[in-house]
Amino acid sequence: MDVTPRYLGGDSFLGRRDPRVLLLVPLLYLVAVAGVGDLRGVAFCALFAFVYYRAAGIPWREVRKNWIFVLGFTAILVVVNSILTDALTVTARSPELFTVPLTGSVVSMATLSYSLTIFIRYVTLAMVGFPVAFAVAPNDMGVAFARLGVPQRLAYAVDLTFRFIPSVAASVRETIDAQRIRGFEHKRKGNPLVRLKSLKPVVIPVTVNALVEAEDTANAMDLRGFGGGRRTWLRELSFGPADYLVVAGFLLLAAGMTAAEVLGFSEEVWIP
Amino acid sequence: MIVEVHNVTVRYQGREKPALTSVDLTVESGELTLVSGPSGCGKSTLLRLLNGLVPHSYRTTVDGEVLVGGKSTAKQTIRQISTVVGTMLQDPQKQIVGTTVEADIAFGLENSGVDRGSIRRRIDEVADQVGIGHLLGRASAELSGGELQMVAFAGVLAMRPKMIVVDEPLANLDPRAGSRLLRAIRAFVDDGGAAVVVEHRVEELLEIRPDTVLYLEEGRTQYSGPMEGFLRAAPVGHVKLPFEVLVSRAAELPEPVQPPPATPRPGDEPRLSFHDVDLGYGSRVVLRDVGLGLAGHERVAVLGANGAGKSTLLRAAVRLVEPTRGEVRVDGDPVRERSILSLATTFGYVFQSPGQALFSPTVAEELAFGPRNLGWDKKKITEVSRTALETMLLAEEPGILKRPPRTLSFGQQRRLTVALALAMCPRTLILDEPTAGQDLRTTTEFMARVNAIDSVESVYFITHDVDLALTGADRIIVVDRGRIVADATPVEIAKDEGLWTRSALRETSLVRAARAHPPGQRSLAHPFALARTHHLATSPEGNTLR
Repeated sequence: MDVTPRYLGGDSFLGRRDPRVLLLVPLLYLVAVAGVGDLRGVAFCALFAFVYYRAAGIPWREVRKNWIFVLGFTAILVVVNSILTDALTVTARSPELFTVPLTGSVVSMATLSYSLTIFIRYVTLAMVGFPVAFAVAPNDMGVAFARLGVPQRLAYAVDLTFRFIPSVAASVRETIDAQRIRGFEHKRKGNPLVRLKSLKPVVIPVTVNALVEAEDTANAMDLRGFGGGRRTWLRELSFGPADYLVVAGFLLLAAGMTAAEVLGFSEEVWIP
Repeated sequence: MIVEVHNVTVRYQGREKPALTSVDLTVESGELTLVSGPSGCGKSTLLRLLNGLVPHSYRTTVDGEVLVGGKSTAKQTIRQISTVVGTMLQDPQKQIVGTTVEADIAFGLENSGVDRGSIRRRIDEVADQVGIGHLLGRASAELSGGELQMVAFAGVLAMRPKMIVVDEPLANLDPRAGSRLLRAIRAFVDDGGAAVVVEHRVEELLEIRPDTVLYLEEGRTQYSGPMEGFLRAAPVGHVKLPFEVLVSRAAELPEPVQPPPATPRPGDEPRLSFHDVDLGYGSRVVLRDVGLGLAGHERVAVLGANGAGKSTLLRAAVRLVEPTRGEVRVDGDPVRERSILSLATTFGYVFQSPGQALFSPTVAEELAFGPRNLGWDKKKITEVSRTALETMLLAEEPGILKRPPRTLSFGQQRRLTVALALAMCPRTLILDEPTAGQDLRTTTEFMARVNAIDSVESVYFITHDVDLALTGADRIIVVDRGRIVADATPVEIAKDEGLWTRSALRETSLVRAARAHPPGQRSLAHPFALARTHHLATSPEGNTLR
């Protein structure tokens, strides 16, 4: 399994943006859609998310598997929580369409409308989140967080995470190989606890080695003066007009949707 | 003086025996000092003393005086010391923290608050200096071991230290990459800097002409002085000395213990054979056009530079790599018809790092893991475990079966990983870089033990160490840039002068000496025996005797 972070943004519109824009937009979008119960409202927000996602220029073939996972996982989550069970309460009343066998959940037009709203909300959140993973250059992450006010040590930890993901992945592969020749097999079926326990021959060596190596890396960082006073970040970030425009657009969306919610325009489930 | 160490004794907390006892060392500008000695002699502690990790990061008691830039290290922070002393760790993977080469070189300067313009100028300056300008935009994760080492060096130089300390620069590098780094260190010293290099491969270090040598054993100074004196005084068999030195000290050389060469039996099916094979991972082909047969009774070294494809070749034997073309056979049958587990009773594959295998709370459980997966009963598991421990000389260790494997010393852990393979009763052992990062004595003892295992018919080992291949095998397969470029006896390999110029291998003094070896013999005599023969052939006494 290749877990190396992939930078796919290239020279796209979002790829050229200040990385802080790509970190801020998902937060603003979350504010915009968080309280929206009306399908029309969330569909309106989805338009923004779709245009934004397309602007990242992420090639479909590179992220097809990721999208299959997101769509599949979200669909299961929504169907289980709002159709098969009554975990997500729909207060609006509409004529009953059918009753789910076994669970006895009553499905109405309101239920379907609300389920679709939730589905679109989660999928579009992933849509605005994808550019963070694929369109921010790995070495821009730390400085972006630092310039957003995150403490320097924590911000650099983000950079380090990206640096060491390939090493940890290589260590996992090597350890699996070392144990396979002694008969290790990862159980994919059966009791989850037994399956988890069967991972011991891989998890323990990888964890212990990572801890030992982390000590050496911490020493190496100390020896290069990390954690002292003021730190310069070589990468210079500056907001351009297009960056302001994107953030302002999502800021307006967030403000507008919050206002609509406060005024009671988007809170109710829409029944066609 | 940049560094002064006066009568220093260091004790780690919780350990009775000092790691260093009454050690003295001074280093000034323009001086290159070699610190040598066997594993556990205190080299690393001395290095930590110079860069301030001792006493600031390790709980230790330090008696005596350590001055860096004229001030006591105890009274400076690691950050202050780092402006004078730059450090290169043994494994550059752990030292490089930037996601790109440029980001890593900038790291120390960013931490010092240097302005962006100056950082950019210094990056270009050091990249030119160490010849890595073409790598600046590359991701660190994509670099080879040699490139990583040069980037780590550039990151240290960017901070403009007065002195650099370098921990075993050759431990993880193939000879050519190692040589490139050593020349860069010498250039730094020639430009007015100073360096302390910790290394037990003395022969390779001669290329950069160390001015002084400090030789330690069990934490105490055994020699301190110029290189010429050290070559006369160094304990043979403990550090790797040039062959010419062995010849000049022939009278002192101990009687070598050399296992008899393994003899292939005529008519035997090859244990492992490759038929027009390409090997790789996914769409990436690492080795092309492999056609080979390795016998059931021979010692084979697979020799080549890092990343040449050596491990890929032998991992195909246990199906950790599948051929993208052609067929791999084990004892005449296609390997794809065997499960990985069933192959463990044919090949005992031992990985480079013991840490990758050890996960059980006790040695007994660790040893039982493989045999249990083979479905063997408790009685048989106890029996094979005991035999494996005895074979690897671990059975005498008090309470060994109940000890957590990771509490064993590194050398014991390495022998335990061989015991884990032996517990599955293989007929052939495959060792991946069996002696990487170990001193000469440990290497010699380890290989002698492995070659003396009665139950094992053949040993195939992967190495980038030319001398180990020459002295430890009856046959050498040279892998270079994804192809098999030579397959011959050690003597033939040594005599093939073209091979040493056209491949990434680097000639050693033993290679040159082996060229005088009589043709027709499969394996090379032990370097000590060879040195005595050369001495007899060249000295007046020898001529008289003959």
